[in-house]
Amino acid sequence: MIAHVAEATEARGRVIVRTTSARASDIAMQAAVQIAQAYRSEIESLYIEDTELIALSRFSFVREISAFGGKSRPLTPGIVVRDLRNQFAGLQRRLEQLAGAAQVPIRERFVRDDPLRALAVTCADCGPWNVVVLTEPFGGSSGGDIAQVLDNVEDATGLVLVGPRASRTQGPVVMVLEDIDALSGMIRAGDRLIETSGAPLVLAIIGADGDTSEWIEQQARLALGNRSDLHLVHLALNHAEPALAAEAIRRMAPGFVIARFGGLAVPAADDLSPLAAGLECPVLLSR
Amino acid sequence: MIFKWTKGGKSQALVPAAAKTTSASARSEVDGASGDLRLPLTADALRRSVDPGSLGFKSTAELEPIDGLIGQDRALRAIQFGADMKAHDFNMFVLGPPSTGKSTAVKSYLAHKLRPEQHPSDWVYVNDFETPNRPRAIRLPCGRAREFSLGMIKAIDELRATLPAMFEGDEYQTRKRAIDEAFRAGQESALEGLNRKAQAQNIAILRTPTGFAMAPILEGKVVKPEVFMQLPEDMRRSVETKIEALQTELEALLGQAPKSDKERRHKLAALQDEVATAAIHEALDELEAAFADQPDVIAHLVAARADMIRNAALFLADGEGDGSAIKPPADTSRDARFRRYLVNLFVGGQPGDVCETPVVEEANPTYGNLIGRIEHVAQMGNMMTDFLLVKAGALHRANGGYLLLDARKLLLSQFAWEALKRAIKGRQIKVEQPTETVGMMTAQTLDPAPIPLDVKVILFGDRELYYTLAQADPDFARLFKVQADFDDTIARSSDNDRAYARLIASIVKEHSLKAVDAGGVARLIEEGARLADDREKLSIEIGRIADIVREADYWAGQEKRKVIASADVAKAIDEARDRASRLRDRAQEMVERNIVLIDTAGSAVGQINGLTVQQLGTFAFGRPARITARVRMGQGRVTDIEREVNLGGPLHSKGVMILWGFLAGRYAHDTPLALAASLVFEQSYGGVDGDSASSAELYALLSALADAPINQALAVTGAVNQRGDVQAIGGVNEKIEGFFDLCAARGLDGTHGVLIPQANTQHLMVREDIVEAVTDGKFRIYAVASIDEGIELLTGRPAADVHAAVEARLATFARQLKAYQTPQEATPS
Repeated sequence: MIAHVAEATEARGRVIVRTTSARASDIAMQAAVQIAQAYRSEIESLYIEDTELIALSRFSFVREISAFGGKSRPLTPGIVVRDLRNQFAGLQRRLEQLAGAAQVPIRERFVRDDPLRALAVTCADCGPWNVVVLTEPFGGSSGGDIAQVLDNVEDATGLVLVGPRASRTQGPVVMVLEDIDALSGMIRAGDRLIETSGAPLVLAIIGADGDTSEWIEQQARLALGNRSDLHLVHLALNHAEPALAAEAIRRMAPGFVIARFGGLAVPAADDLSPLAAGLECPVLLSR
Repeated sequence: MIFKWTKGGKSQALVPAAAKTTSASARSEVDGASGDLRLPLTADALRRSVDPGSLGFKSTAELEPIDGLIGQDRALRAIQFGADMKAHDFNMFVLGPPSTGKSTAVKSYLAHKLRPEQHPSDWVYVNDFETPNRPRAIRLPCGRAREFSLGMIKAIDELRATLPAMFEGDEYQTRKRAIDEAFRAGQESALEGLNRKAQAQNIAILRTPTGFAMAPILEGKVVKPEVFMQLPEDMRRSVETKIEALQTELEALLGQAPKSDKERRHKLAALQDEVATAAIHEALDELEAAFADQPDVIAHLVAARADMIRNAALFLADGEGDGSAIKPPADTSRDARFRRYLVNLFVGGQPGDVCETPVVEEANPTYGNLIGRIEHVAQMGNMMTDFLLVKAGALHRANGGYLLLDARKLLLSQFAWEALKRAIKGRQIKVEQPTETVGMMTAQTLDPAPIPLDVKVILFGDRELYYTLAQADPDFARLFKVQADFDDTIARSSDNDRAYARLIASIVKEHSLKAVDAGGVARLIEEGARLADDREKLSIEIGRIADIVREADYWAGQEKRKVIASADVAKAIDEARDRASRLRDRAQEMVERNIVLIDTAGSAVGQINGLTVQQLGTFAFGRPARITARVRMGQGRVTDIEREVNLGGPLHSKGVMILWGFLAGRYAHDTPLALAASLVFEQSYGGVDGDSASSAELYALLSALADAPINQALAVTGAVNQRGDVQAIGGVNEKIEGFFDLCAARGLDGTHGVLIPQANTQHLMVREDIVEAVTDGKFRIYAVASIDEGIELLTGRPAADVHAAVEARLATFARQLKAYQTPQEATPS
C-alpha cells in the first residue's frame, strides 16, 4: 500500500508520469498533478520510445495502419521517432501547463528502451517512494500489463490508472475497502488527496458476503474511532461480480478511487472491461 | 397692407390744413351722431361694448362650465362622421388655426365613443426556425400575448431543469454507455481477435504514433531486422506474406471504424431525441392546451418543439462543473441560448395594458416612431439583430383604433409621410429600414412579416398646409377624405355671449383659477371680438383666451383680489401687448424724432399718410407710411417704384394697376392718357404687399394732378377698384391705433383722424382710449365708400372740383404731348 510518497524536499520519490504514445489521457495528467500537489512532490515525465517499435519500423515490408480510417503508409525509424517526439513535446507542454497552474515542479526524461525496463530504471533513480501514473487508458485486457508493472517496478508505492471513459478528477475520494489490512494506507492516501481538493472522503466497503462486510465495517469503525468527516457506505452487491462492483462505484460519481489491485473492484486476472466501461475518474491502485 | 421694417428720412415743410377749409369739409364737420357717410363715426360705432349687468350672473362661479366646444358644429359633425366611417381611405384632416381646441375636441369625442365590438388584438413576433431572418407575426386576442410569452419562458425553465436531469439520469446514461461500449467493445474485440490470430502466427500488433503496425516476434519479443535477414528466404517470405495479409485485414477492420462511429453517433442522436422529445412534449403540453384555439400558436409550438429536440444540447450546457468563468443568467429571458424560443411582445402584453380601442397620439412622428424599427446590438464589433429586436411603432399601437398626428411634424420627418401613405394604401404595416424603401443598398437584415392595418389616421394642421397637400399630393385627397374645418370665430349674440361666459368658466376650472366676475367676462368678450377682428364675431381660439384669463388671474393675485375683475383682464391684455411692442415703440420713436418723416399737420400736394400693419408672431401693430405721387406729361404710365425695384409684392402691383384702370376709365374716354406718374412709399426699404393702400395712392395721384393739397392730419386706408369704390381691408383696428398713437404723442388737437372703408365699420373694436378721444372730439374716424367721398374729406374741396382739375391737367398733358410729338413744319424762306 502506499506508505509514502516523497515530498519534493525529500528527493526520495516522485510522481512518475509514463507515456509511450499519443493516446495519453488528459485526466491521467490531471491526476498526476493532483497527487503531486497532495504529497508536495515533483513530477517526472517519462517519455519512452519503445525499442521494439523502432525495431519494427526497420522492416521494409511493415506498414503503419492509421487508427482513423485504416489508411496505411510505409514506416521508417525516422518517421516513428519524429512522430513520437512531436507527440511527446505536445504532451509535455500540456503537462507543464497543468503543473505550472498547481505550482508543482516538473522534470522530463526522454528514453529509448523497453517501456517496463525504462519505468523500473526511472523509479529506481527517483525512488523509492514513487507513484507511477500510466497515461494510456487501460482496456479490458490490461490486467496482465498492470500486474507486470506492479511486479517489475519495485520502487513504486502506487499505480494510477485511467479508463477510456475518464472525464473528471473532481468529486468524492472513494476508498474501496475489501481487506481491512489495507485500511490504514488507504486512509493516509485519502487524507492527502482531500487535503488539497477539499472533496469528501468516502469509505466504500465491499465484502464477499453480508457477514464479511459487517465484520469489515466493525473493524473499520474501531480503527477510525470518532472520526466524523469520513462517510462509510456499504456497496451491497447481489453477487460478488466485478461488473456489479464497477457499477456500484460508478454510481457514487467519484473524483478519485483508491482500491487494491486484485480485489473485486480491480481484479488482477479477470476482464477489466466493466471497470473500463464505467470508471470515469482515475484509480489509485495498491498492491 | 403688410409693411416691413423701413429706415428713416428727412421731413419736409407742411401746409396747415386749417387754411384749406372748404364747404365740403364744413359738411364733414357736422355732428356724426346719425352715422351719415362722410361724417365721423360716433363712439359707439368704434367698439361694441358689453354691459356686465346684461350677462345675468355675478361671476363664473355661478356658471356651469361648458362641456366641449362652442361654435364648431360643422367640425364636430365631421369628426363624428370621420371617426365612425369604417372605410380605410376616409381618414381625417382636422384643420384650423391653433388654439381652437382641435386636438381636445377629437380626443374628447374618441374618449366617449364606444366600439365594444372591436377590441384591439395583441401581436407578437416569433422566430421562424427555417428562415430566421423572416420573423413570423401572430395575432392573439387582447391580453393573451403575455400569457403566451410567459408560457414559453415557463416551458424553457422547466426544460432547463428536466433535460439535464434526464440526460444525467441512470436510464439515459446506461443506454448511452451501452451504445458507446458496444462500439468500443466491438472495436476492441475485433482488434483483440486479430491480435490473437496474429500472435498465433508469431506476429505482434504494436501501437505506432498514429496507428498500428505488425512485426514478427519470437518468444514475445519483436525480432530484430538483422536477425530476421538471417532467416532462410522462404521463411522470410512466408512471414512477409502473413504480415501482408494481416495488415490488409487490419486495414479493413480499421476502415470500418468511421462507419461504425457514424452508426454510434446516429444511435446516440436517436437516443437523445427520444429522451428530449418526451421532456419537451411534457413541457409544452400545457401551453398547447391553453392555446388550442389559436392555430398560429400551435403551428409555432410544433416548430419550436422540433427545434428544441434538434438543439437539446442548449439546455444542457449550463456551465456548471466545467470551470467556466461565465455562468449563464438565471433569468431565462436574458439567456442568449434561448432567445430563439422567446416571444416578442410586439403590441400588447405589457403590464398595465388595457383592452380597449386605442387612441394613440404620436408627438414625434418620425419614420421609426410611426412604422417601427429593427434595432441592433453591437457584438464583437458587428451589429446583430433578431426577431426580439423588432419594435412597434405608433401605427402598430393604434391598430384597431385611432392615430393622431401633427401634419406639419409628419411632413418634416424624412420618409414618414410616404411610409404612412404606403401603410394606409396597402392596409398593412411593414417594418423595414427607411433606406430599403428607397432601394438603397443595405446589409442583410430582418424581413419581419407585415401586420394587417386597420386604423383611422387623424392629422392636425393649419389651412395653408391642408390646401397645399390637397393641391400637391394626389394621394392626400384619396386617403384623407374627411376634413374637419374648425372655425376661429362665432357670431355675437346674447346666447353666444352666455356660452362664451361658460367657456371662460371651463377655462377657470381647467386651470384652477379664480372666478371671473361679470365685468371681467364682459371685458373678455370684447377682447374676443377684437381677436376676431370683427365686432359681430367672437374669437374661439380657446388657447389665446385661456392665456389672457391665466394672466389676469396672476394680476388679480397681485392686487390681492379673490375674483378676476375687468381691470385684471385689461391689465393682462395691456401687459401682453407691452411685452411684444418693443419694435412698435422703436418705430414710433423714429417718427417722433423725424427720422422717419410723417406729417400729422398741414397739407401737401401729392402726399398722403397711408396705413400699414406689421405682424410679429401673434402681435400686430399699425404704422403710418408716407405715400407720394409725382405727375408729368408722358406716354401713359404709372410707375410703381416699389415694383420697379422688386420691393412690391404682386398684390401691391395689382392695386397700382387698378389705379391706372380708374384713371383711364374716368378721364381717358376721348383723349389719350398722356401721363407719366410715379408712386412710392417714402423711406420704405423692406418690401410692401397687399392693396389696402391703393386708395391712398389714388388720392395722392389725384392731388398731384389737381394740385389739391391733402390734409396731413388725416391718414387713409382702403383698397380701391376701377370704379372708384373703396373696398374693405384687414387690420383696420391696428391701423387706426397706429396713427392715433403717433398723433397722441404729438398732441391731439381735434383735427386728426383716419379714413377707413365703409365696409370695415363692422370690424371696428378699437382701444378704449381711442373711443374716449373720439367722444371728446379729439380724434375722428371716417367711413368712406368711394373715392369721391374720400377726396372731399382729404382736400376739403368738392369731388367734382377735384375731378375737373384733374381732367384739365390731363388735357394739358395731352396737348403738350401732341405738340411735342408733331414734327415742326419748315417755314418757307
